[in-house]
Formats: sequence, structure tokens, C-alpha cells
Amino acid sequence: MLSKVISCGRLGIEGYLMRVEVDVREGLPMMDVVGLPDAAVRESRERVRTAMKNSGYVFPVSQITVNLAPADIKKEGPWYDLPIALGILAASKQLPMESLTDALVLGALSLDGSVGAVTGAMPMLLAARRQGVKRALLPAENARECACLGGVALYPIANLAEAVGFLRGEKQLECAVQPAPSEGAPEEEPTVDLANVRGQYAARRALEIAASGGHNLLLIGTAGSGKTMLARCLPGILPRMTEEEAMETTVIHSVTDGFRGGLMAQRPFSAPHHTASAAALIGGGRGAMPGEVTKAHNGVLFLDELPEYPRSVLEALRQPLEDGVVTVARANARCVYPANFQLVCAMNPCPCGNYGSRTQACRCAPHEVQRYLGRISGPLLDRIDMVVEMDAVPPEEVFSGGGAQESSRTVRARVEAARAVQNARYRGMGFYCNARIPAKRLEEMCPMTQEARELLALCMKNLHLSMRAYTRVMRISRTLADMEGKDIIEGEHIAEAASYRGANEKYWK
Amino acid sequence: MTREDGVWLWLAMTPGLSAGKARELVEHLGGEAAAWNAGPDALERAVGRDLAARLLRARDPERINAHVRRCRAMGMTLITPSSPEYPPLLKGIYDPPCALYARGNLALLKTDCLTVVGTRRHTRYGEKVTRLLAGELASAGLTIVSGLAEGLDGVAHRAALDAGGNTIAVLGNGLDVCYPSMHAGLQEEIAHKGLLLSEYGPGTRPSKATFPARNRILAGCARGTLVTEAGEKSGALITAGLAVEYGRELFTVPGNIDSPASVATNLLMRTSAEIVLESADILQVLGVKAPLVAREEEAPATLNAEEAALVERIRQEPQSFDQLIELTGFSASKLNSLLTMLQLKGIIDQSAGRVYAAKTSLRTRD
Repeated sequence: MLSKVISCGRLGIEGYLMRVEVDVREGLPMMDVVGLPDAAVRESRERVRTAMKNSGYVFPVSQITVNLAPADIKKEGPWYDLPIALGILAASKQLPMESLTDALVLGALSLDGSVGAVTGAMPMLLAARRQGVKRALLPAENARECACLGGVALYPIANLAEAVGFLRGEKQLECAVQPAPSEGAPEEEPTVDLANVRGQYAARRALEIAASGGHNLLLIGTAGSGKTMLARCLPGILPRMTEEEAMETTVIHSVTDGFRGGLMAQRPFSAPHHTASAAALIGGGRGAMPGEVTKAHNGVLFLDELPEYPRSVLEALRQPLEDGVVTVARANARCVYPANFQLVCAMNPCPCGNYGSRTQACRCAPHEVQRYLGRISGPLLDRIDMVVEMDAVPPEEVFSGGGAQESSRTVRARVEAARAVQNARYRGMGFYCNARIPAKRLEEMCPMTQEARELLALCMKNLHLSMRAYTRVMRISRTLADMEGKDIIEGEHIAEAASYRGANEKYWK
Repeated sequence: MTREDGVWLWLAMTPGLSAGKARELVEHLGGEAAAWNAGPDALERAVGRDLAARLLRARDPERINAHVRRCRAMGMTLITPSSPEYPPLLKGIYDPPCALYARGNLALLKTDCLTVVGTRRHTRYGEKVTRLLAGELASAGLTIVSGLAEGLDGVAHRAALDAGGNTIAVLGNGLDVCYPSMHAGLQEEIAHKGLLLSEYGPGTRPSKATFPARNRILAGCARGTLVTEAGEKSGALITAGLAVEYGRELFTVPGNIDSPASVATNLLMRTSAEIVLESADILQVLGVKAPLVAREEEAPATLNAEEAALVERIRQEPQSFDQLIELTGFSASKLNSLLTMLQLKGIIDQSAGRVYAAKTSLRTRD
């Protein structure tokens, strides 16, 4: 007898609907799983058999064939256990066949019959919703994660017996509760707050500008000057995510980290270590899984100790920085992942970290400093709008500094206002913030007063700015004008913008 | 090229024979000609069997002449203790080089020389005083001698050239070798406007041993040595030590007592060095009359009230961005644009670690 159960598979961060077909017929007792199962899927035979027995059901002594359709895609993971078990029960008449016709089933089985969680349930449920699935049985642990989806009645399942009881109509199950519809994502306190950062006025200001215009940022500072702390503050002052962004982000983290906390409110902050491989950063490996750049989608990618990253890894960053997406091609899969992140890098000014410090001696020879800085390629630097030198403040001075500092929340309100101006200006143009203005539209988007124009020319000449630096100064001054709500760029905007290129010209002559 | 020069060249080209030994040998045997004609026995008695054998092997007029022709073809002049060009002061040290290779203006070897050296890892302060002092002393007529190393050596040469003065670079490698590569342009410029000097023949690469040896020429050819900034292990200290040993004047510039880059110069000041607060201090000790050039008063740039207040703060002491915020109460954005404007007007300078300092020269004693 043949039964069919609807289930879901996942390729990278895209889900697809599939069928688990189970045939039970007379013959030598055996069970075969076909349809390109991987080891985890094939092992489900043993889990399913034992779980059924331990839940008090009969595992048919017959010839069982399980087909995972479509049969041309590789199936991974243990979450076909529950659909296979239900399929066998239906095919062996322990469960009414029609109860399975419209329900999506997902879940791993443990030997005692309890149902275990699924990694990346979000994209699978999204695909099911698109295909018009109305109800779904899924592990209780995944219920909260997927409840925010809406449109699908979700039944959290704790064990095999519960699923069977529900499908037989013997047991009532509560639908997973959907959170009340809210404007945007729910408010959540940022984990690191700008209010806790002492001093570093220049870097604070730079961080706000970077957040307002979406500019990539490089922090240069001696060891212990607080570069990492500042970078961690960035997600907290970026504008809150729209519901669409929050959904994208949650889907990605559902797959990559097994995130199960419902819709994400905080923008992600991804900080891969400098020993990370290019595949870990960009994506790849078996199954072409998303990498750190995709995990940082809609958020911040933070590279600490920038010159320590292998050159090949940094060069691989150029495509996602340019396009906002990353293409991962492997022998068995080719995936395009979103990777629209803001890059924040941090580095020491020299290998020992004390170059430029007022109190610590730098132990590096001058050519060592040059070589250290030279590890960062020009093309990558080109994609970083702002370079900020952290103040080399001795620790005893750090704590003497001023009273209470502005909190992230206050700063974010200003950032959101500046972004609103940009969103209105760039509507329908294919880009959304000042950092993304295409070079050929820059002049048109950055009208200047006569004074500003003259000052810019003077800066080019006296501060030895390159042509590349010129466009960066324009973009940043555009953001500075937007922060004040001005349409025309004025002289003081240019003067301030130029100060974020000064360090760059000094270090990379 | 006289016969005596050839003899010195022979000694210079003998491997394993130190400059001190060579000088002793010539004195012992009673002059260059006697040394050339000395038999194996006499040489063996003077320097031992090994060296004598080497000396005899190297005593090959053909080879020496070929070397001279090669150097000439490369535009180098050979100077030995018997040449009239040989720096007179250098003859006075214990181990004067047997041969000097030179490119440029040989007349500089007869001028009043002052060696200016400093650390390769200098601070802004070190750069500032080196530039100022070397520039002023060069325009006062002293020839600035230095080692063309990275850091303050390069600053000293550059300052002398910029002031239209004379400079000699003493290298620790062959004159046709560029080291450090960042000073390739400066090296060429000095060959044209000043003088390049080295103890090492064409093609010699720099090594750990050549620099300390080079330092004795630095200390030996000048009437005094000025160390502008040096940390604990700076190579400039070798030069300073040699200058004292040779009985030359040693000058240092005081630095902050908490500045790692000034530790050694401050210590020298306590023990053996003359304190320099302005270029006149050096000129006075060396007895050189400076053509009194009135220090150029910079045309005051027009500043608005905010800029003027800021400059006032920075003039007192170099300040970091954070300190300036706390001192002046400006917002970060205001301060950023003010600082850019002041940089544009050439009034302040920014260095690593975002420290801002006023660009004007040292205050002179009234």
C-alpha cells in the first residue's frame, strides 16, 4: 500500500516542497530509502524502527520502500524521520491515509519517540506557505521560531504518539501562537551601548556618520583603544530593521546558527576570526552553505586585526561589497546568497600596536610598519569610505573623561532621520544610501555651495588627496549635510569629511 | 692615483686585514713604499703567517689597477690616507679606512663637518628638531654628515639640502647599492648636490657588521656629533660613543623624560653631551660664525575666533582629539572641520594617534 506525506527540504537558505512516498508490500522484511539520501537520512531506518516500537506501534514485517521526491536533489539531515514514520504507519493502516493529505510534516525522531528540532525550519516553512500549505506539524522546539510567519497553522509536536493521536483526531493540539502584529520589529535593548564608551569623541562621531550614510569604516588604533567595543555598538545605532529585512535575517540565522528565537530584532553582528578561510567567510563547503558575509546581511561584518587576514580572503570580499550578494558555486550546488552588510574593520597601526602611542615605545622597524600596512590592498581600501584614527589615550585618562555619554538609542533616532532623508531622495533609483551612490551620479546627487567647491579643491591640493579620496569626501559630506537636513553641501561639511581621509593618506602614501 | 694610493688600496683589498692593523703595518714598516716592497719574512713578523700570505696573494698590481679602472668607470673616486682629499680629522682616529669611495663634491671633505644622527623610529618631535637644527646649521655653513638611514638620518640630509647647504652621506654599503630603498631618490640627489662616501667597494651589500664600522667614519670625519633623538638601543648611540672616544664634541637635544624615544639622549646629556637648545649653541662651541639670518616671521594666517582659540591650545602642547574636545568644549563635528581648516592653512600638523601639534619652529631664546 502506498502513502504520501508532504515535507520540506532545503538548499542553502532556500526551502523547497517535497514528498515522502512510502510503499509497504509483502516480501522479505527490508527497508530501503531512495531519492539521493545522505548518511543522516539513510540512518533514519534505525531511528524510525526503534521509535515506532518504543511508542507502541507495529513496525510492519514487510518490504518497505521510501522515496524522497523529487529524486534528483540530494537530501540532507535527520528531519525526514517523522514523515517517514507517519508514512509507514499510514501505509500499514495504523493511521488514516486522508489525515496526511494536506499537512506538512517535519521532525527528527529520537529512539524513545520524542521529536527533535530541525535546523533552518524558517526557509522551509516559507516555501511551504508559498506553495499554499495550510497546516504543518513541526517539532515543538521550532514552534516559536516559525510562529512569526503567519498563514500556516502550526502544530507543535513533542513525540510520535502525539502526532499520531492528533492525526487520528483523538487528541486536540493548540496552534502555535503568533505574536501580535507589530510595527516593524519588536524593540530590544542593544547588548552594547554607546553610553558605556568613554571618550573617543572622534570615533563616536565617525560611527554615527558611518551609520547615517551606510559607509564602510576602518578604525586604526593602538592596542586596547576600544576598537572592538565601538564596532559592537554599530548594530545598535543602525536604523531598526523593516519587517522584510527582519524576515530575511531570521531565515539566514535559522539556517546558519539554528536561531530559534522568533523574528530577530537586533541587526546581526558577525565577527569572523582572522584565521577564517575564504569559504567560511564567503560561503561554500559541502552543500555550498552561506558564510559570514551572509550572516552579516542587513547588519555589520567586523574584521578585527585586518592585516592578519590572508590576502585571498580579503580579496574575496570585493564581490559582496560591490554587489550586495555573493555567488557560491560548488560541484553539487550553485547558490546566490544575500550579503548586504556594512563593513567595519579594525587594525593596529603597526605589528606591535604602539606606533603613534604617546606612552608606549613602538618596537617595529619602519619597513615593518610599511609592510604591515601594505598587506591591505588598494582595491579593498577603495571600498572603505572612512578611516578613523582612534585616540591614543592612556588608560588613566580614559576614565577621567566627561559625564554621561549619549546612549545608542538617542544616536539611533538621529541616524533614522538621516536615513529617511536618503530613502526619500533615492526612491526608485536602485540604491538607498549615500555610500551606494554610483560614481556617475555622484555630482548630480551632491550639489555644493561655491565655498564648498573651492574648499574641496583646496583640500585636494594641500592635503594631497587622490581622485579616489575625492569621491569619498563627496559621499561623506553628502551624509553630513543629510544629518543636518540640508540639501546643499556646505563648506564645513567638506572640511569635516576631509578629516576622515587624512589618516588614509598618511598611512598609505 | 699615486703609487701610495695603490698601496693603501692593496691593504683595503686584503681580506681579513682590519683598518687599524693596516695603519699599524704601514707605520711599522716605515711608509707605504716600504710596505709594498716588504718581503714575506718582514710581513710575517709584522702580522703573522696567515695574514702575510693573504697580503702577498693580494699584492697584484694588475688586479689593483683593474679595480681602480672599474671604480672610475662607475663614476667613483678613490681616496686613501695618502691622497690630499682624505678628510684630515678622519686621519686622526685609531683605525682610519684604508680606502674611501666617493661620488660627488669632494671639496666638502675639507669643510667644517657636523654629524647629525638619530633613531630610525623617531617621534614627531624628533623629526621637527632634526629638521630645524640641521637646516639652520647647514645654512650657517656647516656640512651636515649623516648615515642615510631611515628616520632622522634621512630628515637631516633632506633638511640640509632644502636649506641649500652641504651634506655628506656615509653609507654602510657600496655606493652603487641602494639602501634603504626608500632613500634611493635622496641618495641620487646627494650624489649630485653633496657627497656620497663609503668604505666599501662597488657591489658590497649592507650587513650587520658594516653599519657599526660605518659609524666610526661618521664620528671620525666631523668636529662634532649631534644626536637629536635616540631610544635605548638606537644605533646612533654607537656613533655618540665613538665621538667621545675620538675626543670630538657631542651634542644632544633634551626630550621629555617620559618619552621612550628620548631615553638615551637624555642620559647622554647627563654624562657627556653638550645640551643644545638652539643651533647657536653648536656654532658657538665649534667656533663657527653664523651669518646671522633673521628667522623668517611667518605671515600670520587669518584666523577666526574659534580657530584662534584652538591654535592657542595646540601651541601650548600637542594635543589629542579627545583632549581638545574636553579643553575647548567644541562638538566633534565642529572640531573636525576646524582642524581640517587649520591643516589647510598650514598652521598645525597631524601625526599618528591623532595628535595635533603646531607647525611653527622652536622658540628662540631672547
